[in-house]
Amino acid sequence: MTPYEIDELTETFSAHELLTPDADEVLTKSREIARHMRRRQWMLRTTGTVAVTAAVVAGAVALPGLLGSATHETAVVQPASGGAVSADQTHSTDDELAAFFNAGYVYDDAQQLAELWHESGDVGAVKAEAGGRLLDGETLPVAPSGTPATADDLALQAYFDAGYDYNDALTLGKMWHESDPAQVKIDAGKRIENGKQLPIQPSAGKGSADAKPSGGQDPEAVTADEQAVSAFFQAGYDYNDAVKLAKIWHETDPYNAKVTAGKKLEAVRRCPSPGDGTLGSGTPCVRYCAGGSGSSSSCLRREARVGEPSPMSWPRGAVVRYARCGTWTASRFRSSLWAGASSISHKASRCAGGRVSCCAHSSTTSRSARISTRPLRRCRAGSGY
Amino acid sequence: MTFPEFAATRLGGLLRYAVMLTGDRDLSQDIVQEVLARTQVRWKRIERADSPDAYVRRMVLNEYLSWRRRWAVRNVQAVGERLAELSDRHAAESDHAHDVVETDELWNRLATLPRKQRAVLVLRYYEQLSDAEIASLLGCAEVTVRSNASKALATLRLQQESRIPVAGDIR
Repeated sequence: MTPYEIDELTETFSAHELLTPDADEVLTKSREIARHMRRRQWMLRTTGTVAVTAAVVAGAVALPGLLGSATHETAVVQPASGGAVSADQTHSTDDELAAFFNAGYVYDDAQQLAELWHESGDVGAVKAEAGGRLLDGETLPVAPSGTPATADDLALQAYFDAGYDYNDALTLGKMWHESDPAQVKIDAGKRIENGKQLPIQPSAGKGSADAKPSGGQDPEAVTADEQAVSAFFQAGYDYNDAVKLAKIWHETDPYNAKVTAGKKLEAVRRCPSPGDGTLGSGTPCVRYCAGGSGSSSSCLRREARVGEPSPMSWPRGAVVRYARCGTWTASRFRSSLWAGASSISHKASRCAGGRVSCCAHSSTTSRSARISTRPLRRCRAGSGY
Repeated sequence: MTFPEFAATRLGGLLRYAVMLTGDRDLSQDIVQEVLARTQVRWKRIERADSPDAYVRRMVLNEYLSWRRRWAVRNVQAVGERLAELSDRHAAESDHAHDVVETDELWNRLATLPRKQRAVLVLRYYEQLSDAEIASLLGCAEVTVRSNASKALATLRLQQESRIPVAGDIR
């Protein structure tokens, strides 16, 4: 190598430093990916065993939240053993939000954090991110404006989350010879937090999955709703999505939206197998089926009618690639579109007439791209993209 | 050092490093995002390393070497696009136009190298690492590093002589 060549190389490298991506954007995206990672780890821990491959091959729905590295293999993970959460562990969005508020932070604090972190638009995500950091033992750059929750507050929360109510407190008070129901609730909540079972089952309300109260007014209904909510979160959606859906569907509150959405997602799983022609006009069924071709064997081919009103049909966080009206060729990958799924539902109807065939692709290599937004400049009406 | 502090001080360098390795802005962004996310999730472990910065840079290198996305797809970029991009950034400095073309040619030739060979050149001439350090990073012998560097440079020279201007054409 001559000195001239070395200079030339060095100069070339230096000249192309200009190609460096925007650091703020990278940081924002990486935070989001980290959230997905934590959530996925949490799901794997809590569900114990997740068999993704089998579901894909069988033509069942694949959950976008799991569309990470687990697509290719059957992941068998031991359930969480409990104990303190370390940086390597992950948290559900609910846990993160709870940590945020329990630490005394409020909406205004989230807005301040959003400014510091250059997050715009999604304060809910900031809260979750902040809560996740708190759970990881990090200190936030903003002091809480509110009062942190006390141990008693948390115990009360655990008590009610488990489905117990005032009447249960009275019953427990008699058993424990405690006349103050408030104190009974706190004591009972602490027991629940410590993983102990109470001598009675909740007389009303819906218990959390953690406490597993077996009583209640309508155990079947509770289970169905809980399953739907679970399906909602497992599909990668979060509270903010529920708020948006509640607005779209004119639901009274986000919880109802979660239930409705979860039921829709569960209905997807029950869709008929591919190739039986049930995806005709008016059929709200969205189906995932094993397929994929060309450059990616891990693609899940997805078919949907254009103009589907429900944004639920577009899995958040998935890489969706368009092919022209059901034609699926390897070359189409080359011009694939990468974007956040929430915007893709709009782009789809603009991009193609008739039916759209697209691909929800997942692999470890595309995880970051999955949530990156790229310009849709190749999108042309009627062309497929 | 907290993760935000780490990210604030080291992200720029990581991104430049990734750009040099990949030769592609989007791919470098993907790689750094991925690595940074993993770093964030495992920060408590990583910060205990002797040098978190070196640790993360190694993660970037490993991610680049194991990146499975089809390069053919990503690398088919019009040279004109790249030139326009660079020219834009050079703004009105028209005197630089010729230099840009020159460096872009070499840049495109670099894009045709196997990943490991390119990594060796980047580590040697951009990161200014010794062959021993490169060998340690790549997990190979020093002689392999020298061999890779030699092959890479020979390829670049050959290409220069045969004046193949566009990376996509070669592939």
